[in-house]
Amino acid sequence: MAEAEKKLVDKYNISDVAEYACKLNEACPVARVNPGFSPEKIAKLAVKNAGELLKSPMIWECLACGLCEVVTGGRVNMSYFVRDMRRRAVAGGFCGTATHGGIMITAQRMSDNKQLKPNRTGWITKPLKATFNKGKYLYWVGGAPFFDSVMPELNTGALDSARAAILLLNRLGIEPVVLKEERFSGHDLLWAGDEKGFRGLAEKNLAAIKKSGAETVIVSSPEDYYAIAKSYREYFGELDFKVCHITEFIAKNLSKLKFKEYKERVAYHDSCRLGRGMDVYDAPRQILRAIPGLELVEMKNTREMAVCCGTSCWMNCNKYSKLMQVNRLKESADAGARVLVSACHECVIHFRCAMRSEAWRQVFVDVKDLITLAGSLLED
Amino acid sequence: MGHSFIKLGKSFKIKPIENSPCSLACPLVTNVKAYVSLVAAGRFAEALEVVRRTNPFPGICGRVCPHVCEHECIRGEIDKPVAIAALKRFLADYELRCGAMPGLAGPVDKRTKKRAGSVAVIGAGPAGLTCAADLAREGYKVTVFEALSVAGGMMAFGIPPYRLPKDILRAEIVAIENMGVEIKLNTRIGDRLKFNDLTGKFDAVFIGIGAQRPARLGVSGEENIKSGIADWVSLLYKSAFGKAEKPGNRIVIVGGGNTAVDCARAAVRLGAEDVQILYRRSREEMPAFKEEVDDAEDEGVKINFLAAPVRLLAEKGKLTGVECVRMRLGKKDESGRRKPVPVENSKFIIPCDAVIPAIGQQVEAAFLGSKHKLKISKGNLLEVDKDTMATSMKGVFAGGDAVAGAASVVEAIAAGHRAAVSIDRYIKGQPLKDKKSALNEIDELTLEFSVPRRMSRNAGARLPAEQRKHSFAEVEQGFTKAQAVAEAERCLRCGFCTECEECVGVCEKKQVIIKPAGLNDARMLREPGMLVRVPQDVHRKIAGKGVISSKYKAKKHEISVFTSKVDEHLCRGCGLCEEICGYCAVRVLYRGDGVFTAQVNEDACRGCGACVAVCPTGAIDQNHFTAKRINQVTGRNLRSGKDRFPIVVFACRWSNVLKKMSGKLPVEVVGVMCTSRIISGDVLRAFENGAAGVLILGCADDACHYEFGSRAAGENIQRVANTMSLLGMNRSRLKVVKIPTGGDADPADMVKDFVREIKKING
Repeated sequence: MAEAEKKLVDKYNISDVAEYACKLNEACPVARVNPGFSPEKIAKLAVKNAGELLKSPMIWECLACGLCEVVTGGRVNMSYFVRDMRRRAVAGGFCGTATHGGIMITAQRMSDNKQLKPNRTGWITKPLKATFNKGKYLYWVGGAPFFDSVMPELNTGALDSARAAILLLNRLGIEPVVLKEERFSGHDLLWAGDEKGFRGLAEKNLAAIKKSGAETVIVSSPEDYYAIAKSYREYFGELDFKVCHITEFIAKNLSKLKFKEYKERVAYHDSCRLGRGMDVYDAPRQILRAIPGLELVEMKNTREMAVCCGTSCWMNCNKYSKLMQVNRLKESADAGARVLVSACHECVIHFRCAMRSEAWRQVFVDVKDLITLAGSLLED
Repeated sequence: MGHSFIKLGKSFKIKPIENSPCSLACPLVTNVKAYVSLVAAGRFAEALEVVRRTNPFPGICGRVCPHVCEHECIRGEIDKPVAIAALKRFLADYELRCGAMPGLAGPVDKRTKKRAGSVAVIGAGPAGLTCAADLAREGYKVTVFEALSVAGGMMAFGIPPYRLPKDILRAEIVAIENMGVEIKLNTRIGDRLKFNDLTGKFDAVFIGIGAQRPARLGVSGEENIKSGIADWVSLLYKSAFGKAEKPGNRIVIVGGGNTAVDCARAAVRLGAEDVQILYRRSREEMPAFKEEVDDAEDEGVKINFLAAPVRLLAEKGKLTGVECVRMRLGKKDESGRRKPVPVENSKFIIPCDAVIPAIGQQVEAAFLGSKHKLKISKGNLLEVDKDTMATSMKGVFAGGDAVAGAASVVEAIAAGHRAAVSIDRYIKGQPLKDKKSALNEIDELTLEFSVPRRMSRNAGARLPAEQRKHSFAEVEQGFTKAQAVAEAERCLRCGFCTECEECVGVCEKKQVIIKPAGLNDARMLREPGMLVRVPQDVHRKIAGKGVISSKYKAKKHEISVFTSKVDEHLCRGCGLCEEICGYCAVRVLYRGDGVFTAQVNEDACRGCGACVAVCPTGAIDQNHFTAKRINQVTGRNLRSGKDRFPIVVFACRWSNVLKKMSGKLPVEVVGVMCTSRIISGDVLRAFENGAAGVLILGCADDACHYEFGSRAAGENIQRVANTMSLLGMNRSRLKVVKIPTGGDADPADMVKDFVREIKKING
């Protein structure tokens, strides 16, 4: 048995899974739909022969959604175990199946290249106001420009969300810095087993943020927020700037914003990274409650028990992912919602993809991005 | 009508055909069998074109047509009729969703002919717009005058949005405007512009103003009532444009037609507590669509059959109730329906605060002015010659509800067509009636079937009744692509040849001609698959079994099959493959437990690999040109070679690029069956691994072996190009060259040119 893997099993208390097996198998969103997968199965194999687990598709099927941590009260750290195991697997030549022909992951790896001068701010046009050099507040766009150009068929609307975010910030009197040389945060590479790529991107990004002199970085995507606020700290120590998610920033300044009426019943989907990852549950809900006419309903699985949207870091999407998405959409319809709102672009993309075929006809729900919704409802 | 398809040469001839009952039942004689067969073959663009030959409003008729065709369908004698209307609707929706379909330049032919002569059309309803479209196609200058601020007539406001959404209507009217028809909204004839001005200014005038004056109930007490009688026109008009308020809380609607049911359902949606329909005959005689009546009842509308109003009750001019009398059915009257007779001593009172008469419609003829010469019938409708649609005034024609009273959209379209023919003749100075132009008598169809397999009728999804009650959102959600194909496969293709006339265009040697019936009879053709462009039997052998037998040698050659295959575990049933495939070779199927996955029909797959490139999860791979094989080039370290500037060339095999390339070139070549197989991720990976440039060699758009190959390839390449510029890469490192057909251009030169360009970029 490989020593390095055994250390990981001990480090993250994987052998304790047996104690919580029933609870974990019931809570795990993948195990609910995929009979070939469960946290218990991973743990059993890990304890018996961790080297064998590296070759198993299970470590790629796990969503690292963080529910195991919640259920076991923080005792078992399945997400980090899977993250580190993937790194070992990739080193050994085993990898999951990248989605979208691998273009998203490849683009992220290529983005770690000093010679390339990224050019991803073309979408900022009048009347949006932003600077590209120095400033107190920095708006972190993330992969949105790529989502729109790689998946036009899904109508991702990721850039609409970014535009709405800048509009909201402008309304608060802030003209944020948007980095021309912003690169991918590295979240997806880290969680897809490419630590070297993550380090490269992180170093370049930290240098760029430092150069801008920003005191507060306002992040649009929950995954990037998690990467900057948690993983950058983990790898590079304390940050010399503040980080917050756009919903937190807007929620703090709600008194300065006025929204038009929006008469719908809305359910809010907690994304894994923003909710369980960063403990941001109330800010998005505060924004929704500030919209007149909007009725916020809670789904059966909500807040820290929310169910993942079915795919992460552009790896391993399959029929079970779709099933998870359809089930989540049904859950929102069962709660009486007509619109499902999420603060994560990727969740929105995944739900939209799940609705674009036979299955959507079973569910009559609209999926919307929170920031886009808030931006579109701003009083003139 | 009857004609036969004769292929010269020895292989087959097609039996002279009779027309099928569905087509004969249709007022437009739409070639139902042809488009249903084309749907079954997955050729949606051609199918829609067949519909449009006779019907400019496929999306609308697919929703609201009374579909008499289905009542005559022979399949209905075995199990249930083919859902013809829903298929028509599917085609229109599919076009709206996917844009103009491959193979069609656009939804309509642009106005190509120009002819002297101008025509005024009064009323932008179905009759007027059809007439206008036909005449515009003939080259006349047509101006449509519409009193309201929207075009569509009854289709715009008479049919509520939960049956016909506004965007569908809008799209089909835009298509007509694109043909060169000018529609002047907010122009009521009789206000500033007089009817007499039109007759002077235009060569001919068509009146299609509909019948919009509600008939009065004609019962005692009606004249004393000041509030409580609502009229259906304004109720439906206002609810269509979102301005309506409920006319009362307890509403009685008198009548049994679609208008009555529409009013009732609109009233429910506006929040009325108690909605009741009074109809003097029984359920069987009710002229409204059965589905609509059922839906209305689901939504809580009560229907009081065999009851008629006799008196309206009021207090201080305010309606308080309707006194009714029970009826029973007596002997048949002229219309063939049993006449209702009052039952003695059976009067009863229904308390209510609003009554809506929906018992008949009349023409609003005031706009004509006082001195017009038009004959108006007793029932307050315009009188015309039934064949030519000519009124009693020279150069003035009329059709639609204004002539027929309340009727269906499809009947109005038929009238519009007939009027257009007459107007064309009138302007040319030809006699209006021509012996030949009258419809031929058609023989009764004699059918011989071995008893077909029973197949259940497909139904699209619908909004549940609870959700319907509170919104004007469309109730019927329509077919999915797979459902449409499955439903079309139920058609028995009565009369054998499907008459789609596709063979004429397909035959390159011009061997297929269409001749009048009665000349030949020969073998029957039942398979819609006859439309395939390669000899079917050879293709089957290649694709299906992987074995081809040579004509000259007895030996069998094993050849590799290029078809696609699906990894069911990875497939999420998103349907992108189904949408891209022009051969319907991939379908998403339900596998139970809420799981949908795709399946490849190897017989139909032609091996272009377009589905492989669009699959978001990597579930589809192609035999022979596998992901693994492509990865051998794009996935390895290209920097390690001798070349300072390694170049990867993706080449389509059909363009024979690889053969034509003379001499050895310093590039890595990846062969694919079609450039649509190229995954955007693979191109980017080649750059990641050190390629200085990527060249994609494909066929010219018109020379693509597959119908949609070049288009699909363009979309994938666009993704890479966008990603490259976002990353800050030089976009000219990626180049697409379409090799022109026929020319003697050497692809090797193109590669050499590209190598030179790349060297230049790198200085």
